[in-house]
Amino acid sequence: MPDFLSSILMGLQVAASVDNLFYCLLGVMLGTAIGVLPGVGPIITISLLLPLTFGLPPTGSLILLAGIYYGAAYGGSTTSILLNLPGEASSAVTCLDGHQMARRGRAGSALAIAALGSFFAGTIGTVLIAAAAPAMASVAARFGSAEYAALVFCALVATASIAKGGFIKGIGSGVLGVLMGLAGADVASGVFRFTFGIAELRDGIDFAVLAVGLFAVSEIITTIGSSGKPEVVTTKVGRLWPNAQEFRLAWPAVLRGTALGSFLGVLPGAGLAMSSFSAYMVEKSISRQPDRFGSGAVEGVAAPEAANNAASQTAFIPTLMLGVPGSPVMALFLGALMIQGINPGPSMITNNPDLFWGLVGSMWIGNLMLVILNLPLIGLWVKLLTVPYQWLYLFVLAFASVGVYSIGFSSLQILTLVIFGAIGYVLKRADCSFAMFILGFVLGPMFEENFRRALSLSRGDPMTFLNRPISLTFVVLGIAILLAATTSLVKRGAQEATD
Amino acid sequence: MSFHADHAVGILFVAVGGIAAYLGIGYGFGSLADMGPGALPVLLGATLSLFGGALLLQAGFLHEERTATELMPREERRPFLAILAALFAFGLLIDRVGLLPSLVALVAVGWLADSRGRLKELPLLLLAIAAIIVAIFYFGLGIPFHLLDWSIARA
Repeated sequence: MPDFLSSILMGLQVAASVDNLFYCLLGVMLGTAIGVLPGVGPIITISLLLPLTFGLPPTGSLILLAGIYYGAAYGGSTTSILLNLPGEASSAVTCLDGHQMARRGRAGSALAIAALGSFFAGTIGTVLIAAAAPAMASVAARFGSAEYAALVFCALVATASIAKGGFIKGIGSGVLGVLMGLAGADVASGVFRFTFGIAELRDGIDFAVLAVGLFAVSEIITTIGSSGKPEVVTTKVGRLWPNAQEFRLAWPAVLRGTALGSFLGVLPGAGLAMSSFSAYMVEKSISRQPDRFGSGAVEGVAAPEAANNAASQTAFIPTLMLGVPGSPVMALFLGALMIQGINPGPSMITNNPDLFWGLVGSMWIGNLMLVILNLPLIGLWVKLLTVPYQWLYLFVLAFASVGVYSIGFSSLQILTLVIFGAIGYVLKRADCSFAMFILGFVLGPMFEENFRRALSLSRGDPMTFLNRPISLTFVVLGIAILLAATTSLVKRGAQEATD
Repeated sequence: MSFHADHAVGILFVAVGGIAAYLGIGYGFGSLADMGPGALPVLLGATLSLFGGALLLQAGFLHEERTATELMPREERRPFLAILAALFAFGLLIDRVGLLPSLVALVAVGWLADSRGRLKELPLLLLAIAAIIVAIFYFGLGIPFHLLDWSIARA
């Protein structure tokens, strides 16, 4: 297939321009620096850094964001391994064996395996995106309004079924997000909805403000409240390069993890969180000595990290091709795209090929930068881990408010931030899923537009969602998940998988 | 039966759903073939209220269960108030006095959130945070902040 190889080459050319390389480097550095801070997971890191991307041209902005994304993921696994403090569900698995390796003086090796495994998985993932692009675009071209509405329905239900806190809160958080997403001028009629006479709200609630308030502010509050627990800090990194035995154990695990993750990442909704967990379970079940797991098994680090990175790579396939994000991080990414005036979807590849392939190329370069930059810099990141939280949170708070203010230079943004901080705190206390909320917020307007258009095209006949095979599949799948989720068995199993 | 986080979320769902549905009726529902701007707010608002009600019922029946968590534990009251107050102060000041004084207010009020902070650390912390923020946003990204602006009207 020289066709997609030449496209990748074009993307690498776009990404390798001096400006874009600089943005990628800046993103990777900032992403790692913030992502490595204890208690600051990738989602918070990305939402904190989101305002930084707004002033740049679209390509530069996306490349900066891709750098941030990988930096944040890498920073997160560093914290998991050294501090036993997972920033998000997917790195909780890395903690299990990674931290045990660190305690036995093999932290450097665990970090190197995580980085190399992620790089390998990322490379495969990038090739998969490029290879899948034309096929996905032709599938996406067959998507009409009914199909899109049904797809969003299915994605929301699928995510809610594995959301923490249970199905009721999951769907509730999602619908709450959709309603918030509808605020502002209605595209079809121009009516201002939920603006309460405030002019700044006519463009809708600002996505970055919502994300920072929900994720960062509420997290700071609860972390200060719960801190005081002693943390096991492992600052001795040890030798970086894995020894021969570790290497021999790691590489087949990386291969298996990559394969599993690539497949799961494409699924809407559940993919990302499931991937690292499933990869860990697979390794444990095929291992000849399963009892080594939990006390520092190399495969227990290599496979989940590879799976997670492969999945986060292939998760771009539905995000970019269909415009439907599979995870909260992807939803953040999609929100950033929309702010740049780009509508993700099949038209993106044909209308903005340099943007699309430039992004694909910069993903790979971002991955490469992580390996060649961060492993030597590990000493610096470890130093950041030792900064006490009572200094750290003030910096994060300052960063958040200045970033949010810089979006619109309006103090109303800061007041909105306060409100979402409070809402976020309540949702967090009740164990509601922020993932659902943010997915609802991003997908809401898209759902409404397509839902209304589909019904208008069918002259008000709701059967339009069932008469079309693709749409029917999504509706049936969604309803099946809905029914399954109400049985406690599935709920309990899924909760174990995500918590 | 005490007030739990689940109750708060249930009430939030019912209230937001109710308001959305009520406002949605005002925006116009339209018909199935030609939906108005209020159609989705009405449908989803009603759904949200329903789920909120279900949550309240569930929380009411299961109140003896361990999983129900307190809305705001005592140790989180102080950070909750201080962090939100710090942001609020920043929002009030930033348009009027420029970036640096607002940052001072933000950090000083926010510093109250954690009881373990030591007062003698505060000046250095302020300096460090202001320096990093100005370096990243003002110089690094070239965002034209008014660093210090005592005039009420902005140029």
